Amino acid sequence: MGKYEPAGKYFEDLEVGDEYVTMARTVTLSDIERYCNLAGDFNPLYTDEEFAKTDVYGTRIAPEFLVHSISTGQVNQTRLFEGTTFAFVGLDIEFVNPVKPGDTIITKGKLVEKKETEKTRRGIVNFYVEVLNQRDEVISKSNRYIMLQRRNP
Amino acid sequence: MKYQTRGKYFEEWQVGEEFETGRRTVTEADIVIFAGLSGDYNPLHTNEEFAKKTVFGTRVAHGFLVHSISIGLINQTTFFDGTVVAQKGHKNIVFTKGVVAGDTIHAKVKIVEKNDMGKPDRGELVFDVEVINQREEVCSKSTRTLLIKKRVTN
Repeated sequence: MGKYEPAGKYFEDLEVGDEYVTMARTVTLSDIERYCNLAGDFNPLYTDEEFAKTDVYGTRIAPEFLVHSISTGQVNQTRLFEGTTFAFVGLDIEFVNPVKPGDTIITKGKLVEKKETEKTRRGIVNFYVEVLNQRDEVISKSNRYIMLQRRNP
Repeated sequence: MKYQTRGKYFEEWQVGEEFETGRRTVTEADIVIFAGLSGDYNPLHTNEEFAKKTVFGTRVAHGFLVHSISIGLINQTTFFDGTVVAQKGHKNIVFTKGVVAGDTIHAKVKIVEKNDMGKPDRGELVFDVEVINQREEVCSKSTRTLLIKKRVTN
């Protein structure tokens, strides 16, 4: 049987305008609890249902970086950057709407910029990414900058 | 007795104010749990044989695990206990040094901007965060914007 081959695209393989869509995932109370335990973040908006009932969202919500972390996992599972990522360069993110337990989220990205680096073995891609819920509402908007390897350095 | 929230209200923060959080040792368990929770099984984080051949020399923690731990450490100072309305966004999040199992990290925070917004119940607070390891190396930086309650409504 053959050797494992990473499936990721190299810098040259991508063009401005290329898009991706990930699988969807339902965010659960269990996800929220595990994240809060892991991060050590016990903000009552995420952990206290009695408090959250009286606050603006009416129920516990998912921590913003739980949602973002799930989103990075979704992108990873597309295998689009598998084996070809050299480094994560940066992220700008804006939180637009909350995710409530039972919501199902999907991540959609579009390549908006390609930039060559001094070291010609790599290039930087800038994807504009939206996380959306099952009602097609935007949960977050971000620009994700990744340094990719070149197929032909 | 009723629980009293201990967070600082918008009026009580000063631009230029700084604080440091407590410290936390990042472990292999944290990395494994985060991979499972996020679904991010990039071999940098989960495959030791692969990771040995990278610049890190071993598995590294996901950047967003480090970022999430830094949020937890900041919240554990209780400076934001009960006074956060919402997180608006984080900008210029960069990961400058890998964090590996056994590293001990903490966060340094500096308030850089306050925007009144003209609203009676909330204002915008902007602060820079550096995550530092036990060798005083900066592992990540970001600028974070939160909406904070004003004391007026309480």
